[in-house]
Amino acid sequence: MKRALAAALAGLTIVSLAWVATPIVLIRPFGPQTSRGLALSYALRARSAPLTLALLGLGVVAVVALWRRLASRSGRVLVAVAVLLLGGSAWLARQNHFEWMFHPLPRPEFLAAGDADGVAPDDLVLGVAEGSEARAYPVRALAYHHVVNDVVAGEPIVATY
Amino acid sequence: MWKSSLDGKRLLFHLAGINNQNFIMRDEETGTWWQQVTGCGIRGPLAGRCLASIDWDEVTFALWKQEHPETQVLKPAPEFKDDYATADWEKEIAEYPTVTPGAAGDPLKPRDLIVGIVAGGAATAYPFDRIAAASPIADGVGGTPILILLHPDGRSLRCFDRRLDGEALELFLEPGSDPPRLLDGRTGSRWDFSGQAASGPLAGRRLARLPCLKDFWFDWKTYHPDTSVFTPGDEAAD
Repeated sequence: MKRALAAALAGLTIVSLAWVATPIVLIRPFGPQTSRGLALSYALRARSAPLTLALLGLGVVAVVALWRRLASRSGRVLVAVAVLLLGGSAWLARQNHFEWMFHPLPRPEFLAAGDADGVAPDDLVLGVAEGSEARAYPVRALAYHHVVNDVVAGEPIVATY
Repeated sequence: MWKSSLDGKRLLFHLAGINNQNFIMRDEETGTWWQQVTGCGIRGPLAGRCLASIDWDEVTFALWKQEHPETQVLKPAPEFKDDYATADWEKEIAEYPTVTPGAAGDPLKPRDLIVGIVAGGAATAYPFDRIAAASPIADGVGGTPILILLHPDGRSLRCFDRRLDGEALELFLEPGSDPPRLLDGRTGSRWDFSGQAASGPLAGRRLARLPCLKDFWFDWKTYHPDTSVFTPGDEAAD
């Protein structure tokens, strides 16, 4: 019984880590992407939050069943590590690691042209003019944020670079 | 630059990944993955739907301010602005490797800069070096007479449809004009960098802008595999 529980716990941990790690590896900058890789990554990501949580739950159940059966300290340490990994995986499933590197700009604010000291005259901007509104999105900022959700002259837009 | 409403609902986007060095974004509302350069959904409930484009310009701040003195400018985020791209980021990125291999016999190297135009079902890539040497460039793409105009600042670029009242204009740079002016061969009217005739018989008329994209050759080729490449001597004969 102890072996079966330990094997189940190991299996749960491996599945959880693989589920979360696979899209991270497939969709890495400077690695090539394929259509199938994208399809797999999307399918995995779409379910990874509830799935990793469920695996964590099952893992905790297995640990509770195992705990008293474990005689040695090293056994208990291993089991604790497994739960930590399952927990870490469930947490990572809910993170957008791309936004760790390139933070989003949730509420874009604007300056008058005369106050925009940080933008040099020959810096490139993406300019949008709609109705009576004109907005300049400096490319150097957009190249970092990648995505800015905004509204120009009542029209919701997404500025990307 | 996309309109972010679809079917009357606003979508909010996040950076979500990368697909052969063009990024993927995800909308909060449906979780669909969208390709940045095409504005089209690639995975998820809205896969196959495309966002509508909004007219935009890639020009220097100086030029934009000149044309739109009342413009608002995106305020940098104080906590992240130190991580924004440096002034010479374009030189840096030109050295990065690419993951899509260049095809044998490709006329251009993967990170060569081009300006891409799609019109009338056809696509043409104009090497930036060629534009810098020969601006303005008059050509035809898919039957549409086009004009690519590079400002003397060497960075601000616009593309126009050369047709007015159904006829294609021949446009020449007025030598020594600063700010740059174009003369049209038919009426001698003088046109400014925004595509408006400032003087002459056509004063007040405006050329229609054409969307054009400054991109790396490898990225343009990925999404326009049948693209032509403009070479010297290709100038349009109307």
